[in-house]
Amino acid sequence: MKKILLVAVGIALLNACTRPAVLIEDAWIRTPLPGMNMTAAYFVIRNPTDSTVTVVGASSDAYDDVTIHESRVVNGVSEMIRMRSLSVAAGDTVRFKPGGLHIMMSEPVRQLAAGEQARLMIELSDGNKLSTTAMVSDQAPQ
Amino acid sequence: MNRSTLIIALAAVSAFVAGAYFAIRGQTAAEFSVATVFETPRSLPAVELIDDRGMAVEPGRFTGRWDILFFGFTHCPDICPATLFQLKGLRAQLQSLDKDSQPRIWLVSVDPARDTPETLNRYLAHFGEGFTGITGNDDEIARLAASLGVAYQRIDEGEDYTMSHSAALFVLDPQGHFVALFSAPHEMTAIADDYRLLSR
Repeated sequence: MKKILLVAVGIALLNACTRPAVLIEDAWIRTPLPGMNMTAAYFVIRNPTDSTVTVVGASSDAYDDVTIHESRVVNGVSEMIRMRSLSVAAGDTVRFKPGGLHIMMSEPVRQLAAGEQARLMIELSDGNKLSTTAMVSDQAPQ
Repeated sequence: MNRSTLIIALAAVSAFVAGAYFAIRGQTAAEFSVATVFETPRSLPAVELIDDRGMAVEPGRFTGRWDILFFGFTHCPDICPATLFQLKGLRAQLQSLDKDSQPRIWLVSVDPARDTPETLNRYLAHFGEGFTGITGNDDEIARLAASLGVAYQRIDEGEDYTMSHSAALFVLDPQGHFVALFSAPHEMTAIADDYRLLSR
């Protein structure tokens, strides 16, 4: 009986270790332009799990005010929509990129310059937080 | 009708007229892959605006060189920097052209209350040579915008505000006439190819 229990615990631990997790990758922050107290950040969210996850917030160690927005061009006019939440379906990948989904950051805690790094965090509706390091750059790193 | 609505309405009418015009005329410009090119160039109104050095943008300022105008604002976190970096890339792609054939890039502010000449000058310095800002009073900006069919509107967000605005690029020939536009989204290699064709 003890052996069976140990094997069961072992399998459970193995599952926990190998279970795919939501990832944020390829993060970068646009170098803040001279005189501006705001900029935007971009990354890719991958959801290899078998259930939808919902992003409900974002934060950074470099800016106090961090929100999710999407730029959309409607009838030739660019407008920015605040996204209160963003769902990423099971197995899906969502790309934040210039002219589309982006993290808008204002109220800088510190000044960022090209080549520096900052932390970016996203919060999921289940309370989990994911963190990554973002490179500060004029354009998306190749 | 408030002022913003009026601007949008004027721009919408202008865009509709321009759209109908392009639809009729555009087919003759099939050799261009992304540009909408007009058979008949359109004149711009004389406007009383200033550049990012505080110099008057007088009639004739847009003559002698090819110009590309983009309407945006400096407190724009995403689409404006993205487009300006794309335009910087465009200028790099067109470096092989004679200097006089290379386009000058103009950022016309749709947020002149915050975009002073000093703010624009400092901001645009990041993009290097060839970028100039235009600002001025609301009515004159609106007049220039309407002449090009540009729509824009202030969007209040609590105590702050942002601007929605046209994402297109407007091309003026060396006579200062509005001759073509590039609609968003922008693919700069295709725009560079069309620009070479247009400016030769």
